[in-house]
Amino acid sequence: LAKPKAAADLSLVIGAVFTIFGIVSIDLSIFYASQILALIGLGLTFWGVVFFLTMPKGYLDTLLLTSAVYPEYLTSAVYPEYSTLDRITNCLECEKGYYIPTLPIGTVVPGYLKGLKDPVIFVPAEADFHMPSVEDISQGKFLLEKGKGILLTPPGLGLLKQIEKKMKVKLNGLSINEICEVLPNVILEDFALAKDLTMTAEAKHIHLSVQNSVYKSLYDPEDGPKSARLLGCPIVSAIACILAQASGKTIALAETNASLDGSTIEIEYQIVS
Amino acid sequence: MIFPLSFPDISLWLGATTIILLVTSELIISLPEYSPRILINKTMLRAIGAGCGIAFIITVILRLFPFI
Repeated sequence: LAKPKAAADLSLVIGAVFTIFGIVSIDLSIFYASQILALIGLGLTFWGVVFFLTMPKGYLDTLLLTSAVYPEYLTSAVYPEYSTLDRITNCLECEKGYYIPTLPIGTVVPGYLKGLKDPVIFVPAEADFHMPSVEDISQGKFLLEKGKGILLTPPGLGLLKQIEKKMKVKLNGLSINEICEVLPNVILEDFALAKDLTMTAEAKHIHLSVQNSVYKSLYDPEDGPKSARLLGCPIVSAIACILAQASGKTIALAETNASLDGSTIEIEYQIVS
Repeated sequence: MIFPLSFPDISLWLGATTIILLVTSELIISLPEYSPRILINKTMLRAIGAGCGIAFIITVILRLFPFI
């Protein structure tokens, strides 16, 4: 798949060539009084202008990313949430956050199991992972009994809802490979939350690479909240929810690596059986 | 030196272009499985199609009622 910037550059070149040849053709048609040349010129000029006007939206939107205000505004909006998550997770000896799969969209369940439709993260109190019970998840519990861990709402839930609204297709109907192909374009083109985003799936691991994310300051090694690395920024969290939904299995953030300035974020998702 | 296309020629050209643009934009927008992969500004494409359609209708009205 072509990246938005490359596609935009191609649109610019095609638009310029069409417009130049179109204008030349119209000039020649007037000079030679030729209807054929006039029609060709009119068509070329028109489609040249259409190419300019319909350039990939994502490319134009990424211009926003160059302004310092947009990323700072988004990050400051989610910072208190991560600060609270830091306070909660500091009490636990957890190393990973586990994204529990939700029920498939459209599934009819009894009233007391409706809570299973909401995406949830399980943060275990111990290093070992033991799946929380269905009752605990469906009842919307926060603190699990016997100090097993806590259940949290994913920080990317808002973005997830927006992606679902934008895609207008049931995400749980898509395979992991299809999601790896389609989702980066949706996030880049429709939301412009990063300059580049790639996903690759290999067996039980999914690799995500994000370049210049608007949430990059959350991964700051000194000032960034620890929970951002544990649970992921809103983009990483929303993708984890989608992967859990698509695979029907628990997804863990196995590894998080970010460059010092946060411009490159590498995430390794692990499908936990 | 005069422009070699007459008013009816331009009207016909606008009509054909409008059909192409509107059919293309509707097909692109109504296929959510493929829509995210097509990297163009779909809203703008639809707006251009609608604009051409309005221009075509104006040319038709001007031909039907030349006294306007």
